[in-house]
Amino acid sequence: MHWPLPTDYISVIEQPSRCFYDADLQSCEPESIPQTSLGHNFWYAQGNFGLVFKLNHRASQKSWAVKCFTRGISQLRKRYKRLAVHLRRIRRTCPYFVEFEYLEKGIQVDNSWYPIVKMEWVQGQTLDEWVKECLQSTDGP
Amino acid sequence: MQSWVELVENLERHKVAHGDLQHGNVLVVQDHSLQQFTLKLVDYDGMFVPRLRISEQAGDPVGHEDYNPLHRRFGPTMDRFPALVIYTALRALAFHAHELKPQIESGNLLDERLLFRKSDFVDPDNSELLRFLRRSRDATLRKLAQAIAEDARKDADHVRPLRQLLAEPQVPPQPSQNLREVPTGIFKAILNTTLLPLSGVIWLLRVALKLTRRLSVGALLAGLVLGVLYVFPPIITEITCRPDPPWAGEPVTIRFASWSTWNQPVEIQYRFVGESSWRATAGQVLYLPQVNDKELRLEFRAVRPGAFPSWTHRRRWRIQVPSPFVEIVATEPPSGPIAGEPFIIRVRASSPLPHRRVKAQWRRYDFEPWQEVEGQELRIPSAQPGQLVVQFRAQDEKGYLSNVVERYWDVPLILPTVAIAKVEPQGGPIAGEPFRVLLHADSPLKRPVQFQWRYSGEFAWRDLAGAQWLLEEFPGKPITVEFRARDSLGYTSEAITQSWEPRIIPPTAKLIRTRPEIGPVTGHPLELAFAAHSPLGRAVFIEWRFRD
Repeated sequence: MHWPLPTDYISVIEQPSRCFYDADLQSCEPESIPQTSLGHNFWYAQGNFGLVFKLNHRASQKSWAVKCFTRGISQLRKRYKRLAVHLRRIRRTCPYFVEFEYLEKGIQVDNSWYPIVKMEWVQGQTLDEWVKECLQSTDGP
Repeated sequence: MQSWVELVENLERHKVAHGDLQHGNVLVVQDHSLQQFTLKLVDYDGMFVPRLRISEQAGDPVGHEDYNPLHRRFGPTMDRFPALVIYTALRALAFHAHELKPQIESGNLLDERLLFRKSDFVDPDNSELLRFLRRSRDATLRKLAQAIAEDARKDADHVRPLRQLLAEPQVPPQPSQNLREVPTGIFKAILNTTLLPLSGVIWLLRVALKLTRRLSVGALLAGLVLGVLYVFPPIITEITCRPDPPWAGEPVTIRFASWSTWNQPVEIQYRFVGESSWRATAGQVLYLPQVNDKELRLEFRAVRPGAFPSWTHRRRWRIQVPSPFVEIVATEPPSGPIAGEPFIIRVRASSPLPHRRVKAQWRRYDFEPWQEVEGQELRIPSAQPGQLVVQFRAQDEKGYLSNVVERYWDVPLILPTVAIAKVEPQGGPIAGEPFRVLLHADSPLKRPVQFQWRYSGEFAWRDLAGAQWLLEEFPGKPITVEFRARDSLGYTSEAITQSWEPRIIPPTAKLIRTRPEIGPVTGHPLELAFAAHSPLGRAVFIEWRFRD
């Protein structure tokens, strides 16, 4: 399978109503994500296997993180389906995961559909940023 | 940091592994209203959950190289090493914030990473960071750094879980007092399980359904039998402990033999009595690096995916304390100490465990601090007269102490003696003549001796230059002199007192001639001639006076 490039995704993300299949996402607006390490805001956050976009749903004041893949992972669908089932089962006792949904028909790039993972947006700091801030305020973890 | 330990433990308990634990995938979510934070994990591309049986393929997520061991394998334990790395990094940053600050400010640390790099795991012996942490003032950090160095090369299954590592040198939780019998039977096993092996039951029903649709009752029964066998719990057939009984402070290895249907792989779990959650063992071996309790009480069970867990085996081992002991091997001199002389006590300290280093300690009184015996012998340079009391004990490297061994010795005082060997003149002193006393002293310890003397009634003793006492002119009255000998260490003999009365030997005078011979004649001079004699050969003068 041939996967789109980051630039392909960026070119379509500005029109969520066209590129997404999911009804929630269609009525969202993309928002840039501050990247402390790079010093300025960017449309996406780079992950190991793809990009993450932030989409705001104005009506419900809710934000989604949408992961689009730029590299293949074997049995992607199976992984995320099993994962969703298991994490839902243990959600009450294991609160460390965000809610997510794997959408096989997720985003349309050049007339073909690619899978996305639609996740609840969590506002937080990554561990290294958080440690840095703690140390700067001389208040250890 | 505690939150992190909880998170790691929680995932492992749920048999979930994230697969790519690293700084960028852990979010700290602040709840400002509650003044607390929660941890969230993101990026689930590489996650493992129990029902996910996939074979790894090239290009699949393998985790951040700065957090993962050299040989990572997709599976439920793949988070152990990254979890250890993150915990160690957080703890190190908290403890050594001051020392690490220059590196943080220069952007060397905490910039798209926490603390460790892959190179630290490739060559742990030459990693400056690990060396630094191994010398940390925090004992836990030292232990964690050691664990990272050791586990970086291990298979993920043999990496120790974080909680186990943190708990290792501490005393295991106090087990409950009542010792119940080992529950037997499958019903107890069912009752003991909190989670029914649902997958096995579903599998059984599925087989049964398929068979009823297609085949005969016989096949259905066969399916049922197979199903029962499938869910039949594995059995622990043997538990052996090395050494048995375990030694306090020493490692213990417990090996298991187990049986399971169709010899399927079995995981042995254990917990200390009183704990609620089970811990995993590494394969069929449980290695506890140290046991400290009076008793080691453990529970074991065997689990196999899809089957009921085995019933709980409860084992109790009494722990032997490897008390060292100390004994006095020899003394020099063998008969015991002598006042003023050196005394050497040779001791031997040993432990029932031959590899433990043991040191002997000594002190003289209960209120003295213990001192180490250097080179297995205690050298007392000069024993004090009276009684010598020495206490010994042995202490091994783990701090275990022996009983106190106390020894008394009477320290005799061996004094020099003094005697008068000779006097000159032999007949005794003569008034006005020199008088010489030759003294003789005997020191059984062959110490050099100094003679001292004083007139009786005096307080201070005077030293004699040699062994003779000389009075140039004996007075004309009796005198009493005391002598004693003093050895080089200041011990003195008993004094001898001697009185001498001088003999007075007077000169004699004799009228030898008168002139005129007939006697004095009036008007004539009278001349008297005397002969005087002194027996001592002294010059003699003749004195005269008129009577009255």
